[in-house]
Amino acid sequence: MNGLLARSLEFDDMAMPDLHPSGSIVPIVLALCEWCGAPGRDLLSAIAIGLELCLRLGRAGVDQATRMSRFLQRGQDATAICGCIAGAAVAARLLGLDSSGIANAIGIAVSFASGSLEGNRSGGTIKRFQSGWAAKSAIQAAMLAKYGVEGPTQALEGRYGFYHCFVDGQFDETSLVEGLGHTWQISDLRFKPYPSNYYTHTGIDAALALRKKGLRVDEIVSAELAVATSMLHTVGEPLDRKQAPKSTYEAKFSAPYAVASALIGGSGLGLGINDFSDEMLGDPARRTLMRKVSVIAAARCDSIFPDQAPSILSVRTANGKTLIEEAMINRGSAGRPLSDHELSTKFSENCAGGLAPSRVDALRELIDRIEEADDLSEIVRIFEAVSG
Amino acid sequence: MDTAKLGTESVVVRNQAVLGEAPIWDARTQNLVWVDIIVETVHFFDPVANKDRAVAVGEPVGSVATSGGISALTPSGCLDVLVRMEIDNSRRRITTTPSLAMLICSISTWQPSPLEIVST
Repeated sequence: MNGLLARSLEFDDMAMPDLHPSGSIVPIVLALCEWCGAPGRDLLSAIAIGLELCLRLGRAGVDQATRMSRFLQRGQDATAICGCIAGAAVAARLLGLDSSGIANAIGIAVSFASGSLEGNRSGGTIKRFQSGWAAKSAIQAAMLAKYGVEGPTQALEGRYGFYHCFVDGQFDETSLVEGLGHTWQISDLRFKPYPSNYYTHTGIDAALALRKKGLRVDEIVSAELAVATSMLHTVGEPLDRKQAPKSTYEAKFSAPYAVASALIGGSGLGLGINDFSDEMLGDPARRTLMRKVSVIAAARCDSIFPDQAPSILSVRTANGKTLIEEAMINRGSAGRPLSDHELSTKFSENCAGGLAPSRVDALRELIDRIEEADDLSEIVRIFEAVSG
Repeated sequence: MDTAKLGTESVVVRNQAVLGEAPIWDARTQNLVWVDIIVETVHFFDPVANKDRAVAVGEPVGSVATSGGISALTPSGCLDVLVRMEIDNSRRRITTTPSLAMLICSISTWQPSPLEIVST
């Protein structure tokens, strides 16, 4: 359930080009650490290891020549697929299994790993279940390994193994194992400032910048958002559907909706949870404006992707001017990090729907000191009070 | 038996095997494939390049079969040894899963790297 909720708002973390690892890893580790009575330091280490494994499993499938994710190119949800396997490994470690048991858990999880990204294109609500399903499957795999079920010895690399099944056997074994435990790719993990697909974010930044410079909605004749080709497939195609999303979830994958909303102005760190509501989706001004926003691919954006997911917004105004705003570095990435205050704002906004302000502050303090906690009982008590 | 021809045989692979066995010519790769049972390796000798490559299997290997790929016969059953000969790191690839599991087991704790401290 926690994994499902973590994915539902499209507000979870991002590791380029196509991974959102925390949505499955953190629920797995939280559940097992609560169950085992593990201290906060163990929880942090387990989360770090799980995230790292998820990133490495996914990035080992990146085509080094084109720098594209082979998972993404095939429409596979690498987040859920790799999250299931990474989660099983770290769950097995938390359950105290040795390397043989961890290998079995990995092998079993390969049989459970699944997830499609078609929901990003043509809608539906199942995609948000996929991180939760991965978390559930990961724990099941680790438990099965604990009680004697065995995985294939070449589960990842074999002729009928993981990488063969998902990416035609093309993977970089070196990037998967080299330096594991010493060099950490999670240094590159990013926080999302807006609750929508990551590929809409620089479009939002550009639109917010033009709004800040004084652009008014009634001046806009048309707008064109240039993005990388991989981004276009997710947030700009098919354009007629993206210009008229049928649900708030579809709106999160629509560059026209995101740009139009940012040009109108929103909450949170620029656009917040409340900007993707049914009320906003039906807003006539917003629906009119998003039909004026087209999306194209640009070679300049392709040259930066996947280090960044950049956008160039061109707006033609009624007085014949064309305003151009570039957003080439994602807000929330290492090159443009969110401040502690901005992260705190995001935390408060996320908690506001379920916790009273006093409990939000108490939870924030507990998380800040989690490394010193003997167990997770105090944190769990806050949530039990809500559910009870 | 043609003893005259036997007299012309020469050593083609000079390798200090502990227990070399099961030489077989693989027409597809044009390699002489053989095993070292004790060292748990499958060898590929390329007579054109005069180069012998050893691939670690991770368990005792009694023989090999060449049907489509190269399979090593071990106590676990048939293991793919080299599905794709052209991959340079194939020696590491066949033990990816157990290697990864051993690494996961050996990580003591997470320490933030300098980049993480800067970015947060």
